Amino acid sequence: MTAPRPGIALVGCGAIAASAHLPGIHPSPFELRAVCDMDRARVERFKQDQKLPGSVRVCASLDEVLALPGIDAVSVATPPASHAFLSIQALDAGKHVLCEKPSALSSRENWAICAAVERNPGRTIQFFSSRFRNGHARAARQYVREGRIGRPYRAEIQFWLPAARTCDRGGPPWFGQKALAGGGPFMDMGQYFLDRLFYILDWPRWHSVSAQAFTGFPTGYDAKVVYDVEDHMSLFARGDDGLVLTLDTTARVNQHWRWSSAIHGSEGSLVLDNTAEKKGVFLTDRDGVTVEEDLPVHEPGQDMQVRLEQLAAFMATGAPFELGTDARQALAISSFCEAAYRSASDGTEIEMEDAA
Amino acid sequence: MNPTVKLGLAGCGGAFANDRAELAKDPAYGVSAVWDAEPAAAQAGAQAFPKAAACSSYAELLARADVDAVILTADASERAALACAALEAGKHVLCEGCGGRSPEEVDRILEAARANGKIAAFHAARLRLAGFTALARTYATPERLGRVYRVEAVLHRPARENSVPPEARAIFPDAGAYLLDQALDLLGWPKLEALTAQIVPHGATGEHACVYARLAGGIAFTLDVAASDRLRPRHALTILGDRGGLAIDHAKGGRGFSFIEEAPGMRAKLMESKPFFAFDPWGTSLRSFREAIESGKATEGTTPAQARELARWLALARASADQKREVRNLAETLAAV
Repeated sequence: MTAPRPGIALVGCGAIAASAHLPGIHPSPFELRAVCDMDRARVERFKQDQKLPGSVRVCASLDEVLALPGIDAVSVATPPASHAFLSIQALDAGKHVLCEKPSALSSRENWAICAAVERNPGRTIQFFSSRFRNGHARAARQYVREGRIGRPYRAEIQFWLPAARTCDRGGPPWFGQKALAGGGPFMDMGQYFLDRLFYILDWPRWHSVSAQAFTGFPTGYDAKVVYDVEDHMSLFARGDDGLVLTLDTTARVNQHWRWSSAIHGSEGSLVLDNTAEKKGVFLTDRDGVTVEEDLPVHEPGQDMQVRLEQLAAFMATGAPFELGTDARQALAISSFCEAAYRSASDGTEIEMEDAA
Repeated sequence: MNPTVKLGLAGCGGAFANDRAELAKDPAYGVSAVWDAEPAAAQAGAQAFPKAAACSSYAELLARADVDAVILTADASERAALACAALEAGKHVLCEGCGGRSPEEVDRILEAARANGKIAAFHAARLRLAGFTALARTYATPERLGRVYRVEAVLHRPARENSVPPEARAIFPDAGAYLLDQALDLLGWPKLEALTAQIVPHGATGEHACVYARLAGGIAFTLDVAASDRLRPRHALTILGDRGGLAIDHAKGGRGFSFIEEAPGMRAKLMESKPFFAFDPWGTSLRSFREAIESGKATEGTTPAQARELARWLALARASADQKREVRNLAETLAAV
């Protein structure tokens, strides 16, 4: 007789639930036992549209989900404003949590998530990361750890998409509302880039940030619809040992696309560029001649199935969960983002201790 | 035809190597003397000009009666002192870059020019005077760009092309000044409100500098200049506005010039694209320098006020990099040391 599969509930029935969460659950070690959304009609429609089996329960609140038997984990796919309280409620009910990025709207919310993890030993929360996109991050981290790039002094993140703003592509309006989304592209795709870079650099400490944000592109929305997030964020941050990070994240840009991260060290550079033919390279010089070598690919991928396989391994053996951003890491990212927004708003450099 | 202006050349490094061919073929100029701190470089430099003598000292060059003007491409750390000495010796001076590493150094040059009734001109406009910048200028208007909010100027070149000695590391003051001059001129010289910077030595002769600035009008500006054999070569200027964005990308394999603007449906649409093409900024600078000598006023290139502003940027960047913080006011920043 085989052991029953662990059960999972999907909370939030929007586009990302259908496109990213659901497809990974079916082939994973987990069985989908419930779907949940505040709008019961919407969740009924979701169940029907996605052809979910009759055994999958329909819930209109997390309380309903948590009262069900056989729910071991919750996958949160709601707007960011609800991530913290849903996650904390699920953790305190003894569930494991996988949650979309960004982790929360503020570092204060992130502290509360960390506290919930502390008081629920054996439970984990993992926020969605994109650190294994194209499969070079592990190798890049190894290069840094082995000193092959020497002392890292500069990191760059460039995310420019000509039309990346979700609301321009028929997405939900909350993407444009700071109260619900926490911010614009910096709080959306920016989280992925920061997580991957910080992972490669072993989570460096940041001391100060100078940032500027621009909002001004037309939205095409009715004038009554709130749109108050940035279209473009740029920043310059100073970290440990003289490390500097520069970053650009855009929702709209009238130029060619960029999708890259780079780390420059005293002995060489790492470039992870989604727009290039070679998506992961190491550059150094030998006898004054530039040498470029491809980074190896040895990563498991980053889709929902892999997340759930890692979660199942964690539940069975306590194996470390490498793919997701944990609560402490999420706190580091949200403190960084908070300082950047404050710098952009105040028009001056912000010391990170202030932000935290 | 006898040359109108008899020149002494001070400095036979990278800038000299770039410009000597242009200088040799300009009939308005004749090179009488060449000097470099390295005697062998001076000897080699003089051979590029049939009537030029190699001088063993800068004083020897300045003492020559057949030198009316000095073109100064010596290391940036020496330039202000050498320029003042030339002006005091009764020579006109064309300084490479913005002449000094601080506004005070530029002021000293200008004061020496005033006191001696000579012309002090600055050559930071290498990129500004280039043909592709002229093309960009036709798009760098409020009508085409809308509100400008982001500017990025990048030059990563191999360190092996860096001809300066390791201690000079001239990539930042000179290449930085060229890129700044080009970008700021296209933007109409917006006021610098604050900047933060990192400048690190790189390899034996290289340097990597990154400046992030706040400009009036809410423009975020990045200047990224490196001489390194461990980076991919890049050379680009990008100006983003809410109606359109232009980019000059002239690294090998780069896109050349492109202008992209907002299209119906809030999509970006490529409106113009041209491959990189060659340019001749030095000829324009030489012509302008000669005009200034003849009429007392230059018509093109970097003005004294612009040279001073560029030097302020460079000095603030050095101060910010040293103090590892965002800085606003140069006098206050230096006083805080």
